[in-house]
Amino acid sequence: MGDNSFLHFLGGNIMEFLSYTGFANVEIGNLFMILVGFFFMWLAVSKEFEPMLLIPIGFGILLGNIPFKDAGLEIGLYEEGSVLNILYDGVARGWYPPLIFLGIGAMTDFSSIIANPKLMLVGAAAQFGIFAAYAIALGLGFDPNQAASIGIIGGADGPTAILLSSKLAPNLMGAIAISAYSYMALVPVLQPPVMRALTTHQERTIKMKAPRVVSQTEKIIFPIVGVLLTCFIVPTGLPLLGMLFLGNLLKESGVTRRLAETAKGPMIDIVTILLGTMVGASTQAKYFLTGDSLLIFAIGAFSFIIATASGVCFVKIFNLFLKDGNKINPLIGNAGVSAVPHSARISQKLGLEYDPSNYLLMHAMGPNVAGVIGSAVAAGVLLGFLIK
Amino acid sequence: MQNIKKGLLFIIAVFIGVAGYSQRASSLIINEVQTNNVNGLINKNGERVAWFEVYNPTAAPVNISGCYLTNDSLNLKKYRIIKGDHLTKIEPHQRLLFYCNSDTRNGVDYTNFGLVDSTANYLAIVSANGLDIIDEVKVPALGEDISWGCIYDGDKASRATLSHVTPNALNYIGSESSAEQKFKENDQYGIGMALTAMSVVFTALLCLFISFKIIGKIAIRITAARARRAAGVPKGTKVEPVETSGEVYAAIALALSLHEDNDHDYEETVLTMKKVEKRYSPWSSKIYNLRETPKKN
Repeated sequence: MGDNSFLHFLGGNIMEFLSYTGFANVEIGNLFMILVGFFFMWLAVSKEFEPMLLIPIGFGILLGNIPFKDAGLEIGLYEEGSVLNILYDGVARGWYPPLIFLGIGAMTDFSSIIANPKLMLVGAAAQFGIFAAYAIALGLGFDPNQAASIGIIGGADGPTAILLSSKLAPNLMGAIAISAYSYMALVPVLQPPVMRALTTHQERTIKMKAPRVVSQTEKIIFPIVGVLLTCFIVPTGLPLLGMLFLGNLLKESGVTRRLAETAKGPMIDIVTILLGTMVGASTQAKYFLTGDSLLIFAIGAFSFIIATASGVCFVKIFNLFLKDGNKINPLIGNAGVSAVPHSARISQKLGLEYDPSNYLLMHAMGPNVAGVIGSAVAAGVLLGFLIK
Repeated sequence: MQNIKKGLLFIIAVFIGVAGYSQRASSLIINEVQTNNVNGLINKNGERVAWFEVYNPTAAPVNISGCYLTNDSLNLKKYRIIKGDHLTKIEPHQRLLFYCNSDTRNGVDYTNFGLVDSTANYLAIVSANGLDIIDEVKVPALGEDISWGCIYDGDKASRATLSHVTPNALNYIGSESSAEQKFKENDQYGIGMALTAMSVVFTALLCLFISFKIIGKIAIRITAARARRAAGVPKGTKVEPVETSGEVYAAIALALSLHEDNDHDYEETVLTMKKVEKRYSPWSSKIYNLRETPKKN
């Protein structure tokens, strides 16, 4: 009798334990997402596509899709008080992206746009992709807040996309972040056909004047004037723009080298690990595997193409008003999307393809960094309009 | 130089204008008014009286104590909101209700004036100096149990008769935020958003462009002046900048890169051959620390 009750107790315990395992709770969606995680990690390791991001995101997908019994164990990402939930706070409340921007600011050299400020306008024009995608998303039945979050994929800026979607459409954030980062990695595939289609051989071989040397004083003034001007116009861009320009001032002031080194080194690395992993973990099958996610991927690709086309076309129109010798090579128009420095490298590569002595990288970095500012301003505008 | 001065003045004017506007925009708003309360809200004395709601549209708490409320445009200091009551602190995006029963003995949220239910009423919030009007409204004559105010909380442009009476609650009740709903109703194709947002993005970067065009010109002049001084050339004489070839830049960049990577032709340390000694000690030998497996005979 006593033995029977003990065996019964033991059997019950084992059965209960088994009911908690991932095997007992697994759904086909979890397995699919785990495969997606493997795919991301394979892309990172074998193809070296954005490994710094795709490894944490891919591994995060595994973490987020390990199934478990919903029994208040405080282990899940969305369970208040769990370790993952505490780490996810930086994504949900949007304080990881500004820290990433601090590091980006400390890494970025704005000399190219200080030397040739008109390239800033190219960075502004490329943001049209965001609003074209916004219109398409509205047409496909998304609400304005969701449409704005999807549209920002066209800004080609992962942290900005995460910040905006965490505020306006948290349920779509996983799909938006993955879409944004995937397309940033796919810039070499998406942009060149658009650039070739919209330019003539003569335009592609335009040689631009070498940029002038920029003084240290100008480099120090830039982040100060930049933050005042942009944030007075769009205060909602303060978290991103404030941190971006602060990071840049740490770099350029010349007296805070240690702080700049930390911002662009260990700090951005730590935040990138946390941000990538938590974004990956947020893509749990039941939230991620929806028709909306597929639409987001489709609109994301479209927004990248429109952003590239807008930048290139704007340069062509701008050239109509510029004197010979001051003309801009339209191949740098694609760099207005702020995938730094990938899109600038595309300009360089295509430029060399058509004229082996035409080095466009330095010129393309102008619209590229202006695109970072432009997309942060665009995100601020969308937040200002919609978050009330 | 004249152009540069004009540009700087323009930027300063824009700054001052924008700063002034932002201060006003962050002030309190009369969000909802009910002048003819017959079957509606009952106050703590069990009375149904006229009331109005003050809304804090900012993201920071606002203390309204010291400010004035009035229903008379000629007497802006009619009712002073006394200090020292916790009620006067309005949390971000929250509201404070004032009952208008001409009896202030009930608390700070009871004004010393009433509102007339049959005619239009003037209402204003006046800053602590008694001069600056923070917000004022002309409320039309309202029927029984009807309220008037901002359809979307804090949006002065949307003031009209409200479909529901919502004291101390959101005026707009819907699944979307009020701003989102506005865009949904008025900008179905996203054209308005695209035009306004692109204008703002262009304005921001255009301002940066103008500023750095001016700063760049100043920097070039300063550099030229320095070059003149260094060359000992009198003022007014143009000094042509020395063109440096791309090869020189490439050589400098290579040298810097080698320096940063600590690569150099002559090593600072000396490489030698040295015999590696491995000193045996039974104290670190596993054989003396583990029991040997018993052997079968």
